[in-house]
Amino acid sequence: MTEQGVPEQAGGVDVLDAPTEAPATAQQWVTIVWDDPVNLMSYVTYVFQEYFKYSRDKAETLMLRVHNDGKAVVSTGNREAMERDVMAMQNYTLWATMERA
Amino acid sequence: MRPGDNEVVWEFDGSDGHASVMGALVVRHIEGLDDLLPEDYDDPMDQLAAEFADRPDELVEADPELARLFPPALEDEEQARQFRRDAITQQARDRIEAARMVLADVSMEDDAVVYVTMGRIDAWVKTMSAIRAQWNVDLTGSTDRLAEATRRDVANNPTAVAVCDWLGYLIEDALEARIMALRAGEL
Repeated sequence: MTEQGVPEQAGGVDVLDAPTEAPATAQQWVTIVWDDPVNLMSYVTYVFQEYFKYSRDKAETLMLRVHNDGKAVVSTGNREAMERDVMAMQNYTLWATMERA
Repeated sequence: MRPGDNEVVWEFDGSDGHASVMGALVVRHIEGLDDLLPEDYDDPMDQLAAEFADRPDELVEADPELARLFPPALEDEEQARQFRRDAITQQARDRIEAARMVLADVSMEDDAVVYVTMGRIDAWVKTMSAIRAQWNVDLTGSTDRLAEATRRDVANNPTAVAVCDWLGYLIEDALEARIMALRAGEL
C-alpha cells in the first residue's frame, strides 16, 4: 500500500526503461469511502484505525474529510488490493467504492 | 501495554430485557444473511457447484435491508454486479461470524451485565452498526446512501427510531470504553 489516504500523483523520478504502458495489475486504483447519515463519526474513525492501522490523528482526518467533503480516498494500490479494502469497508457497513486513480 | 484480547473493556447492560432484545435483533440479522449462503454439502464438488449455482446477488437486489449491506462497489453497473456476485458469499459469512459472537455473549448472560472483551468488541460494534443501517432502511423506506428520516418517518415508525437511537448509544459507549482501556494500557 502506498502513501495512505492520498492517491499517487504522476511525477517523481524518471525511469528511462519503463514500458510505455503499465500492466493492468500494476495500474493504480483507489478505495473511496462515502459519507452517509447512519454511520457514527466515532465508528468511522475506529474502522480506519482498526483495519488500516492508521494513527488516531490520520483516521480522524480521513473521517472528517468523508464527513465534510462527502468522500475520501482511504487507500491506494492495485486492483486486487483495492477489492480487498472495499470488501473490508463494506463488511464494516461503510459505503465504499473503488475506481482507477 | 494494549489490553489483551481476553480483557474486559466494555459492559453491556443486558438487564430489563435488553439482552433479549439484542439477541432478537441479532437473530433477525443472521437469518437474513443466512439466506444468501448456499446449502452445505459434504462433498466439496457439490458444495462448489451449489456456490456457483446460487444467485445471492438477486436476493440482495430484492431485499432493501440486505441491499444496504452490499452497496455497489464500482460505478459501472455490470462490474458492480460481478463484484457483488464474487464477494457476497464471503461477506455474508464474515458478517454471520461476527453476529454469532454477539449472540453467544448475550445468550450467556440472561438479564444481566454482559462483559465484552477486547477481542470481541470489533464483532459487537460491527454487528450493531450493520443492524442499525438496516433499521434505518426500514425507517426511511430507502436504500439511498444519503436517505434520512423525515418527521413523518419518525412519527410512523417509533420502533425503528428507538432501535437506531439505542444502537447508536451502545456503539458510542463501546468505542469510548475501548479507547479508555487502550489509554489505561498506555499509562
